[in-house]
Amino acid sequence: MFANPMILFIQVMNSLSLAMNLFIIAAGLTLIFGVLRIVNFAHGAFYMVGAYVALSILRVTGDSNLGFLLGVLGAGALMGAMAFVVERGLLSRLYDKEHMLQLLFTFALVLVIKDLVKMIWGSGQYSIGAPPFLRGAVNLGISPYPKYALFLCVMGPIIAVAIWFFMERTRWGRILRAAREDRVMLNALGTDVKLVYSGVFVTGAALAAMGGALAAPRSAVDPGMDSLVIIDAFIIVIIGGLGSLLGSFVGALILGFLTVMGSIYLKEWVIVASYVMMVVILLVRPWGLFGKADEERH
Amino acid sequence: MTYRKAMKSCALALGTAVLATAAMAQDGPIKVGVILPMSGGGAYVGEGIYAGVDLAVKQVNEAGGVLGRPLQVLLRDEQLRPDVSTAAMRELITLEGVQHFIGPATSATSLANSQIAREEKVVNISPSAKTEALTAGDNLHDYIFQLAPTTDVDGVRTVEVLRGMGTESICFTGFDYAYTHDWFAAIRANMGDITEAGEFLVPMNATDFSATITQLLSSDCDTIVGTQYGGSFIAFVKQATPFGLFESKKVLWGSNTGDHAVAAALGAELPGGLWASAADVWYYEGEDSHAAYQQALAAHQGRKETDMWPITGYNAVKFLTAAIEAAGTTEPTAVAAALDGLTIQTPLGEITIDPETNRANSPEFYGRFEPQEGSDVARMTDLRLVR
Amino acid sequence: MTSRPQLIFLACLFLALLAVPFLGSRYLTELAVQVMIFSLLALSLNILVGHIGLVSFGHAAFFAIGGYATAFFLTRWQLPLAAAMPMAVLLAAAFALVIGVLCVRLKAIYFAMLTLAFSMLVWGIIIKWKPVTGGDDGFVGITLPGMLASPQSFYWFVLAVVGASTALMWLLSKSTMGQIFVAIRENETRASFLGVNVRQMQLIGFVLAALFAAIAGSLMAMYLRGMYPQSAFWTQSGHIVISVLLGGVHSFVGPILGASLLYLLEVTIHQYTQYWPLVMGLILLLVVLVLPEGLIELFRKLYARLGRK
Repeated sequence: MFANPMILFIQVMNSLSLAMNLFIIAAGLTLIFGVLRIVNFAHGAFYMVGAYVALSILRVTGDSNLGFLLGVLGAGALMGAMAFVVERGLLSRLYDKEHMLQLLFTFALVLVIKDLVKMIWGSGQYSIGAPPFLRGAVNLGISPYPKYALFLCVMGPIIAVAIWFFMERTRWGRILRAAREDRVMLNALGTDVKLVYSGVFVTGAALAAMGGALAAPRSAVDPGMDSLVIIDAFIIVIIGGLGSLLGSFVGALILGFLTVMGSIYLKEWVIVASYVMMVVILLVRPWGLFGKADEERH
Repeated sequence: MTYRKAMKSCALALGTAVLATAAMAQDGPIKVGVILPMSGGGAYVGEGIYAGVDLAVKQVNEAGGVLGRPLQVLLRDEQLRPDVSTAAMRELITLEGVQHFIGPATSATSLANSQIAREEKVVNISPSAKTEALTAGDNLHDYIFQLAPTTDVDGVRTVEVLRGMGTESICFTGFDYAYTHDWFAAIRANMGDITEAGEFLVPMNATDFSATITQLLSSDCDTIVGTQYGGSFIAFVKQATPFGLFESKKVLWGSNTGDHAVAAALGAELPGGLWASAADVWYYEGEDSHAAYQQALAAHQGRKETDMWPITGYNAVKFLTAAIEAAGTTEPTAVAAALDGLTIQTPLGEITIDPETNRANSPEFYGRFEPQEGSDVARMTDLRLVR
Repeated sequence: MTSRPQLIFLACLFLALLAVPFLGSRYLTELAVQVMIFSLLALSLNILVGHIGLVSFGHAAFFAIGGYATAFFLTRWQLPLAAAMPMAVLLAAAFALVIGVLCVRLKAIYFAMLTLAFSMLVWGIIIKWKPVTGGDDGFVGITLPGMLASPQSFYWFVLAVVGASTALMWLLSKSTMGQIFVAIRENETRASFLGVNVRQMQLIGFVLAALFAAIAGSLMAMYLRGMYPQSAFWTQSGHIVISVLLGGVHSFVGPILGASLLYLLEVTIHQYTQYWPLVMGLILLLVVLVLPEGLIELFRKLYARLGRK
């Protein structure tokens, strides 16, 4: 099938752009998973809210490059603000309670958010176009390729590096890492763990929403969009290792290539492939590719 | 409808309305169970069908109801889950005593509910499911009626359109599920000398189509036939457009993507030249009855540019009321018998339910999307109402 | 929570359920059937969550396997119920044995994820294995044995099966094995020092949980006259976990309360508003914040107050 190297090249590009699209969506999930140890069912709902907010902003600003930028940032800001209220007002009461309660909480959140979205924006489908300067295709020498897909290929690493820089090179990042390693110790040292937790939840939610806005030009904005994407995001975070940014990045690459190449060679059976991969990786490395084999290991 | 005829039916309606009031007090309303997807990704279908049901019920009730009794709709959310849709149906039967059902919307949920209809002996009109299986072989029974054209019918009609497009070879693409397989099989059975250059399916709920798009581009076909629906169709279009897929190939899409809602969602992003089908389009100007219906629907929904789904619910109610009227009773076995071979006037002309197959000969529109002067939203041109 | 009030509760519940068919409402009878099946499913998961302390996110897989296998044996092979149902349950237990061996090596969240991965694999196979499962349309049209065709007789059958299963699970939780389970939950290291083969016990618990889930699946398939792929999807697994958490994990009857409330809420809110997810979500939020130990807490407080009088 790949007698033609140009087609192979395009399929590799397709894999990469899908991988980066998925990574952008999964980044926030990894962050919350890693630090708060919360399986955030509501991640998909946050992602959906982001796309809808961007849609509304674009309606006001009109279809322009600046409008798109405002849409993405606005989605992150608004979702972040809502997440702050939810975290401070409700979720924070559950930190010292049974761990699984937080799961129940995010499940309830999904129901509420999805219905509110339906009330505000209705049940129809909408579409957000790529910003004007990213429409159409660009010639890569071997073949033309959609500009927006290339843009996602660039955005993925940028977001990854930005989070990495924040985590590894800033004071806040150090506190976050400490929170991940040992909450009690952090508390004893006097750092306000509450603030750290708020910050992580807000950042994770904002990332999800920006992911929704960024993914919108390659998808539809509709009430089912969250459920389609949440499983992929979970697979990435799980195979990459809980809370490992690098793991999620690699996990996204694996899933991206598996989805694209799998759909060529395995055809429809690719549906099983991602779960087989997940099982195999977890059997060999239960804590994920880049996760730390911490005290919860066997 | 002529003026005299209209006056006559008005007078008749008034008369029955007067008579009805007394009867109503004794019998109460006729309950109609309506089971549709009202949440999640399928909600736009459910809300559309429900709008048509609601409009028809309003019209029927304003005209004095059926057998002097008004219709009362009991709506349930099927959530696109057969276990939920069957549970809802049984709840309506056992708790509310409902004997007449419209819905569910999709093939999987319709198949499941039809089994309950058979067992409980209640009338079940399926407004939108296209699967052959619903009324074929062992699944066919006296109480299930399928209004939407099935995939076999679609196959014949599609090949006609393909010939008109000058198609010589096809590539197939779409979700890996029953509708796709059935429709493609029907096209293959009818396409004669048109050749097939490949089939590229993706799993249900896939969100990325770039691999398939690349395969389609490099395939040796002049026309692409696809089945992604709703939001997934929008995603396909947005991913395929920058690749230039719609410039290098002719495209015909199933899943009723000729729906105005799809065009409205995509706006200027909808590729010109796309062939599609729809159960209804608001801008069709063929029949007076259609104009009257669209006017009523526009008033009901508060917008002129309505979607295609309402007509399916509208016709379902009209069939049900006509059958109850003809049977002279709401007793389900009699109503089901009355539906056999019943012909009614619909906004799109006469439609008959075949007494053998329990399928209606509903027409559908086929056309080619082209951008409109002075509007962002494309419309189908070369519009034909295929019967 | 101590045994006595729970036993009293179970006995009262059983007596109440005995009376249901005599109320003359077919709706109530069928509703009770569904609530019983979902309660059994939640109870089965609680063997893992509450007793052993392992949270499975793939429990729906065994529910679905039980259901599909029953459907297949009854309808395609035309086997009598007395053969079809035990075979389906054993098949699910066999799957659980294989999957369990691999899963119980892991702990906590890693265990949860591996079970999730396996269950999604089962779901993928159900979707693709069309000749046997019916694919995405589901397995439609199960031939029920004639003696179960009427809602009344089906009710008695479900009550008998669920009642017996519940009794077995109760006895299990009070048995030596049940105590070993709890010992593992409380402190795995200490349990293994005391000579308990932790892995083996966890595996036994995993298989038992799957077995009872398969019984629930089998009943559900017969009630629905079909089995559908959504029953194996991760959302269904999540639903079971939610039921258990809602009721409260550290008691026997908690999951019954949780599953019943969740299902009754779903059904009744549906009847009043299209916006059922919102209402449902708000109620769940309230429960989480006010009753963090689950509904069982309410029950416990009530009992304590009654006891004082």
